[in-house]
Amino acid sequence: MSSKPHQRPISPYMLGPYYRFQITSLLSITSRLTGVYLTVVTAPLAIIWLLALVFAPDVFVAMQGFLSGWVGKLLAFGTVFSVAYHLANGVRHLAWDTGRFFSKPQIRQTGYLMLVATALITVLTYWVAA
Amino acid sequence: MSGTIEQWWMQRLSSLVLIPLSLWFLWAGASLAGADHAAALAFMQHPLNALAAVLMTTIGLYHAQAGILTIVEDYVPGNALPKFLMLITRLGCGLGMLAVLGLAAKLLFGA
Repeated sequence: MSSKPHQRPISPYMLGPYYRFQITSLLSITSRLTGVYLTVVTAPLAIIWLLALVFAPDVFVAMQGFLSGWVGKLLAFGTVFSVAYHLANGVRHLAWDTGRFFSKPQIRQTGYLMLVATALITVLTYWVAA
Repeated sequence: MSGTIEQWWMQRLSSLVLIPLSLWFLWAGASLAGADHAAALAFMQHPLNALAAVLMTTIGLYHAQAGILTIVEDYVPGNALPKFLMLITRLGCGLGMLAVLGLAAKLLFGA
C-alpha cells in the first residue's frame, strides 16, 4: 500500500547540522517549497477562482478585487515565481532522469541556468500582464 | 512494494504534460489579471482554454498529491502524524478533483 510510509529509500536531510551548506541543496529544497506553495496556496485559489467565475459571478468580482490589492498581488507574485521555479527546476530533474547533466560542474551550471530561466519566465509573465 | 515503477513513471509523465500546461496557466493568469466577469468567462469558455484549464487542474492536483505525499514520507517522523497528513492531502486533492468535475461539466459541455 502506498499509504505505508518509508517503503522506498527516503531522501536525507540536506540542511541543518548534517551537511555543509551548498547552493545545490538550497536550490533543491526551494523546489519542494515552491511545490508546497503551489499546492497549499495556488491550487485552492485557482480552483475557487474558476468555481466563482462559473457559478458565482459576485464572488468572482470580489476575488478580482482582492487579487488587485497588495495581499493579492503578493500571493500572485508567489504563484508566478513558484510556477517559474518549479517548472525550470522540473525540466532540470527530467533531464537528470534520462541520465544527463549529472557531473558535479554540470549540476552547478544547470542550477544557475535554471535560476536565469526562472527570472526570465517571471519577467515575461509580468510583461504579458502589463 | 507494488506499483513503485508505475508511480515513478506517472510522476514523470505528469511533469512532462505540465510543462506546456503551466506555461498556459501563466499566460492565462497574466491575460486575466483585473479582467471583468464577462471577459474572463468568454476567455475560459473558449474550448481550448476550457480544455487546458481542466487538464491543468486535474493533472496539477494529481502531481501535487504525489509530491506532498513524497515530502511527508521524507520529512515527517513517526507513524500517526504522517498518516494523518497523507489522509488530509488525499482528501484535499480529491475535493479539488470533484470541484474540477463540476467545472468541466459547465465549461466543456455547458451542463
